[in-house]
Order: sequence, then structure tokens, then C-alpha cells
Amino acid sequence: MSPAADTAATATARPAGGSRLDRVPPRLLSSAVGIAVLLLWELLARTVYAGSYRLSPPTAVVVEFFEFRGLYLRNLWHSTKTAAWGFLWGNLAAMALAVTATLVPWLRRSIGAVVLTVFCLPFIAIAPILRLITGPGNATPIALSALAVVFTTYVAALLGFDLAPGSALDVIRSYGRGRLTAFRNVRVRASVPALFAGLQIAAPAAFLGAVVGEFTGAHRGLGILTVRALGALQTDRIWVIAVMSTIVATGGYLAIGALGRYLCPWSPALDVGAVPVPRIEPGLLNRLAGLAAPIAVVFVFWYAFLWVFGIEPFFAKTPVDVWAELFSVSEAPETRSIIFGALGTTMWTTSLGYVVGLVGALASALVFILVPWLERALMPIAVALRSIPIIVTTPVIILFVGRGLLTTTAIVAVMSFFPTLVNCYTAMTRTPEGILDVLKSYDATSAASVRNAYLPTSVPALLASARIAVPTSLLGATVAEWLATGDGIGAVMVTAFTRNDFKILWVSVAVLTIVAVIGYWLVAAFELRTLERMAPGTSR
Amino acid sequence: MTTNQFSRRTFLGGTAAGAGLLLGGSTLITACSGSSEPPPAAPLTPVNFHLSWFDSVQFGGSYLADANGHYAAQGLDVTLVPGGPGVSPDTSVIAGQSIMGISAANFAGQAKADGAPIKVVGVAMQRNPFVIASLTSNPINEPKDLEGRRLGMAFNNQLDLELLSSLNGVDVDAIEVIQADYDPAPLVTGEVDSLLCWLVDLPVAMTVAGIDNTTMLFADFGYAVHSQTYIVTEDTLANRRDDVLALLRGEILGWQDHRADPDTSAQVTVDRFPDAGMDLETETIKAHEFVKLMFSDVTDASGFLWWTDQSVADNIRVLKALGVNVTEDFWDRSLLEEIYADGPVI
Repeated sequence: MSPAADTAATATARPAGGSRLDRVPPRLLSSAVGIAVLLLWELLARTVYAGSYRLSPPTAVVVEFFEFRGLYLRNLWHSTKTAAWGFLWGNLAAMALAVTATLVPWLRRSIGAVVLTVFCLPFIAIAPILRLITGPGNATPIALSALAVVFTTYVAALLGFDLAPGSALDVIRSYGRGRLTAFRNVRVRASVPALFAGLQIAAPAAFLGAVVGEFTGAHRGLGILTVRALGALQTDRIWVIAVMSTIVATGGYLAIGALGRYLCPWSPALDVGAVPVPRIEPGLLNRLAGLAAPIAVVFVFWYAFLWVFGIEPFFAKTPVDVWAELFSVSEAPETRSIIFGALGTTMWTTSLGYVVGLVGALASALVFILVPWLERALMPIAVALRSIPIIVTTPVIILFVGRGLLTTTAIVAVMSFFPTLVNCYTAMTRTPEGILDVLKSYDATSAASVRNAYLPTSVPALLASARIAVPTSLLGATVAEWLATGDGIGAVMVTAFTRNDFKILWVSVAVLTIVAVIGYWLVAAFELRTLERMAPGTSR
Repeated sequence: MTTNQFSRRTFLGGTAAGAGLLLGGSTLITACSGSSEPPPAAPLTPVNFHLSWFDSVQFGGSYLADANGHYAAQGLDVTLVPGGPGVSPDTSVIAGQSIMGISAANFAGQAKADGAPIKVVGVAMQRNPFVIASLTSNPINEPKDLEGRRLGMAFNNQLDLELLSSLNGVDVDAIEVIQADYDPAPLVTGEVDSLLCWLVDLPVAMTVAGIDNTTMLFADFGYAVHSQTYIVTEDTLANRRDDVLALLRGEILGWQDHRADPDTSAQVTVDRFPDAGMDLETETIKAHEFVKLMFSDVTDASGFLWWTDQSVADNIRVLKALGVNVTEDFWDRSLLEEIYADGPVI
């Protein structure tokens, strides 16, 4: 989030003092760091990693790109086009759902449950099922890409509509106008900043969906080119693809941010990471109702999906089938031991990566706030890295970490680290000046400022990031297990569909989705409780 | 011209996709399979043929069948659907999206054992292409050599490794398995001593990169699993037998062309897919290797795609050891018998 970070950074106070480096213009500083990184990269690739088929020097990457530029640009164009279609359809669907949820409040919780469930579905397992429905062609990559963006955009749009100023809504109401007028005249305008923050996150997600979709059979695209390059010892090619994807994803991210600021210059950019969870009314009965309805809706959707697409029984498994497979058929104990054994591995590596990512992000945000020149130098790089699609990072991480369990942990950590860092840092820069002034007047140490000001202000952002990171971490873990480690539930799913074992496939999808949804709600409940305790009335 | 037709089809898939998403899959399938060529004298029957992997000279005969007009001469407009790591051709066939697909006896056999009504109607690779690849400086020449060594392989292949070991009295627990897939780098950099892969992919990449390597073919050590098998559903066999016969004839003609001139086949493949970034030298080596796997005394005597009763018996035995239970009726040679009524070449 460089836009938010930049505006906030100039507007808000920072700890007193600081080094001479603080006076260096930020652009100069980050350019210097960028050049240093490139030089180090070149040096390592030419010495330690020479002949290792792991690291290509930047100069070789540039040469390779220009030699085959037609090939690279055509594949890039194809994947980008697919991602753009998915981005369009997914965001339209998300906005339609958000509008419905705002205008028809009693539907809100059920829509939310379905959208969350879809977001928690493991990509790598639904890709072959989508392929079954759409047949050959580009529809599966587009559909996956659309599914990848629905949730975050839905949450962002909903937040935007909710942020409409109460006074303006009151005015509309006092004129005797209804919900629709209020929506048209107030809520839509109010939603722009949040919506664009959501669209920024959606851009790289759409790209990831498109590339995973290519694995289900396509003639061209960056995903396919990556697999081909890996098999052919074309290290330079892998690095060209990684660099190109980074540039394009970051470009999309920044362009959407700029468009949002152009359309809505009066408002600071927001981050979806900081969206508070909807609150469930107190009381046991309300809680049960609040949970039962969405769960029922999800099951209705499951059956409806199978029915609408007329999927053959060989492929289509209902909730009843999944239950039987896990608990009543004669092979059930064996199935349980396969699924839950693998799930245990996935949970362990994922949780470790998740915690490392979050803690590392919080620590880095604190370092950035205390050492401003470091932030100026590194934050633009963090923003860029935030938008690299995991599928492109994975081969690069494999190159360094290898293919052990640690790979999954590393990939999950990377996936949760960057968004959390950006969100927490942005929140810290919004620490009220009054608090900092008080601390300054008492000659407080840096440690005291951290404890009393920066940490507390970053808690909501940290918790919101932690919540969103639950499904994305599991997504990253299953992709890593598929492409790198061959362990855990990701490997079980891939083995299942290559062996045409659709029972195990559906059971894995169901179990993993339930785990992701429960994880999400556990973090959400913790978030709600913490926010209530810190500042009663701020949660929604 | 072939290339043009291709990109137009793909384009159609791209734009129709949104509509397909909203309206249900059927719109899209129609959009994809419809021929975009002006109709020749007789209207061609559009069919999808699902390949088992990304576009590659592995399907060189099929590209030649298209380029040389063999499919069209049989009255078919064939769309060659690419596979990939995230899709199973069996699925496409069972769901009726493709009239025929390329699978392997173990994968298709699993589906068959689970109740999918499919049959094998052709076997392109009599000899399974699995190998253990190693560096010539540290070679693996027989299964026993694997003991105490590190082996890089895809987790999907665990059962295959166990089977190879039990067939050859190797202690599978003495092999240190490391996940590695589609990538020869771990072997080249010394992270592993060997790789389980296809004869025609990673070893060829190493050869082209100038790295001396040794391969040990599974098929030489009792692993008798038919590969690149052509599968169809029983329903298709009953109701669209003529289309299947036509498609098989086109395939056979294309592969006869490939055998006669593998170099041209490689050239046609590379030219057909300019966005794949294939290397002509690599594809040419592969084109020759595939001939060795696909043609043998059996095919010389009986024709391409043929298999013997003995190999069926071997497959049933080996598949059983892999946990896949199929019987003789999984294989149906009647179409090939009809095609080759006048001899092994058509």
C-alpha cells in the first residue's frame, strides 16, 4: 500500500530524532537499495550460484527476455487477458452480492457464508472439477481467476457501503426516501476508496487464478511456460517469468490504486485488511441461528451446484456421500487416517508459516516506524513483493529452500508476511499525534512508544490481516504441497484426481474447506473480543 | 493455416467463457467444438480428442494427422485438447466431452475399477516410458542400485516405485525419496542421485544441456504397464463406433508418417505451437525416442496401437499389485482388428 503509506507517512508524526539518512529523498534511497540488491543478486548468481541452475543473474535475465521477447510477451498477454476476464466477472459478481447484502440485510449473513466458503475452497482440487463443467477452452482459467477475487472484493465493497456517513443517510431518511435512494446517492459514493483498495488486492489474485487454471490444459500462458522451463533446465526462463509477473502484478496494483485516488481524491486510501468482522448478536439462540442459517445455505448451494451442472455421479459427490466416505463405509477408517494424517502435516507446516509471517510482519513494521529511512528504502520493495503471485514465487523459493516441509512453511510465511506488514505499518502511521506528543513530553523511550502507542494502534490491522491470512495461507500451503513438497492434504488431493479417485477428492475438499472456515471464524471471534475490550463500540 | 485455426478456437473459448460461466457449461462446449473453417465438400464431424499432457512432440503423430489431412479424409474435424498437471483426460472422456482420450493403464484402470464405463482401444506405448535417470558418473543401472541412494520423484509415483522394488527384490525403505517433479536440476546439482521420470523428458533435457546421463527403463524390469493408451466409453463404442474407427485410422496414418520422418514431425510440432517456446533440437531427439517406445516387433507384425494377449495378462498382474483390479474386458481390440484386416499398415 504505498499510496496509503506515503500519504499517511507525510501527515503523521514519527519518533523524534533519526539519522541523517532521513533527509535523503525517498526515491533516491529506494533506488539506491534497488541497485544494491541487483548488484548483490548479480554477484551471487555469478559466483556462489554459478552453474547451479538456481539463480540467474539479472543481466542474463535481461538478455534472455530480449532474445525471446515475442514469446514472453505473447504468453504474458495471454495470461493477463485471462486474468482480466476473471477480474471483471469476479468483481462484478462480488459487487452484485455486496449490493444485495446491503439492500436486503437479512440475506447478508448467508451471502457472506457462501462467499467465504468459496474463498476457502482449495483451488487445486476445484480446478479439475471446473474443467469438467466448462470443457476445453479458456473458461476454467477465467472461472478460477474470478473465484479468486470474489471474497476480497465483496468484503471491500460491503465495508465501503457501510462507511457511508450516518448523517447523510439520516438526511435521506428525513426526506422520506427509501433504502434505494440512500444507496444510490450516498453509499455508492462512500464506497469508492474501500472498493478500490479491494480491487488492488484482487489484481494479483486474479493473476494467480489464471495461472493455476492453465495447469488444467492450455496451449499457452506463463504457468505452462514455467512448467516447461523447469523440465528443460531453463533457469533464465524461470527468472524472466518471475520478474515479468512481478512487474505486471505490481503495475496492476499501483494503477488501480492511482485510479482510486483519481476518482476519490478527498479520502485517504483504505485497506481491506482492516475491515472489522460483522458482529453476531449476543445470546445463545441468536448465535446458533446466526451459524445454522449460513451453514444450511452452503449445503443448499452444494446440491444446487451438482444439480445445475448435471455432473455425473462418478464425479459428483454430495454431502451425504462425503459423510459416508468418512464415517460409514467399510474403508472409512482408512480414508480417515489418510485425510487426517495429511491434514495434520498441512496444519503443522501452515500454522508455523502463518505465525512466522505474522510475527515477522509486525516486527518489521515496528522497525520501519522506528527507523524511517529503512522504511523509505524498503517499503516500495515490500509493496512490490506483496503482489507477486505465489505460483511464480514457488519455483524461486524451491530453488533456495529445497523441497522439504520447510518449503511449505516458507511459502505460507511469505504469503502472510507482506500484506500484514503493509497493513500494520499503515495503521501505525495513523497513531494519533496527541498520544505521541504526550509520550514525547515525558521523554519516553522508543520501547515505550512501541508499547504504548504503535503496538496498540496496529492491533486492529494485525487481527484483520490475521483473519484474511487463514484461507490464503491454506491456499499457499496446498499449492506448495502440490508443486514442491509432495506432503500433506495438497498431495492427497492431487494424487486423488490423477488417479480418478473422486471420493477422496471431495472428502479432502470438504474437510479442508471446513478447517479454513473454522480457522477464519476463530480468528474473527478473537478479533471481535479483543477490539471490544480495547475500544468498546468500534466493532461493527 | 492450422495455427490460425487454433488461435481462432482459443479466442472463441476466451470470449465465450464469461457467457459459459453464467449460462452453464453447455454453451461453451458448443462454442469450442464448432468448426471455424468453411465447410469442405462433405461436412466434417467435430470431435474432441483429449491428450495427456501439454502440447509436445509426444503427440507428433496426431499433429501430422491434422496437418496432412488424415483426420479430414476420415470425415472428422478433430480438436486436440491439451492436458496438464491439473487435469485428467479420463475425466473428460467419462464426462462425454471428449470422444477419446490418452491415459495410462493404471490411471484409467483405477477409474474402471471404480465403476467408470471405459475401455482401452489402443496402446501407443507398449513399453512404459518410466525410467530411473542418473548421472553417468554415478549411474543406476538396475533397481538394486537404488538402495542407499537418494531418489527424486513426484509423490504420485510412490506406488510405482514400491512395485518396481517388489518385482526386483529391492528394499524400498532403503531408498531415500525426495519430492522432485518436472525438474532435472536436483540431479544435476547433486541433491539427489537419481530421478524417476519419463525417458523422453528430463533425460533429453540433460542430454541437450550436455550432461551425460544414464537411464534405466522400468519396462526392462518387469513393470509392464501400458502407457499412452487410447480410451473411450462403452457408450461411445456402442453408439459412435464409426467415429472412433475414423479417429483411430487418422491417428494411425499420422503416426505412420511420424515413424517415417520423425524430424518433420518435430518441425511440425514446434511450428504449430509458437507460444510454447519449444526447442527444435530437443523435440527432434524426443521424436526419435518416441518411435522406440511406440514401435516394436509387435506393431511391425500387427500394426500401430496393437497389443498382445500376453501383455494384457502382464498388465492385469502388475496393476493388481498396484491396487488396481481390472479384467481382460477392460481391453477391446475389435476396432484395431477391423482396421488392420488387410495387414499391419494402412
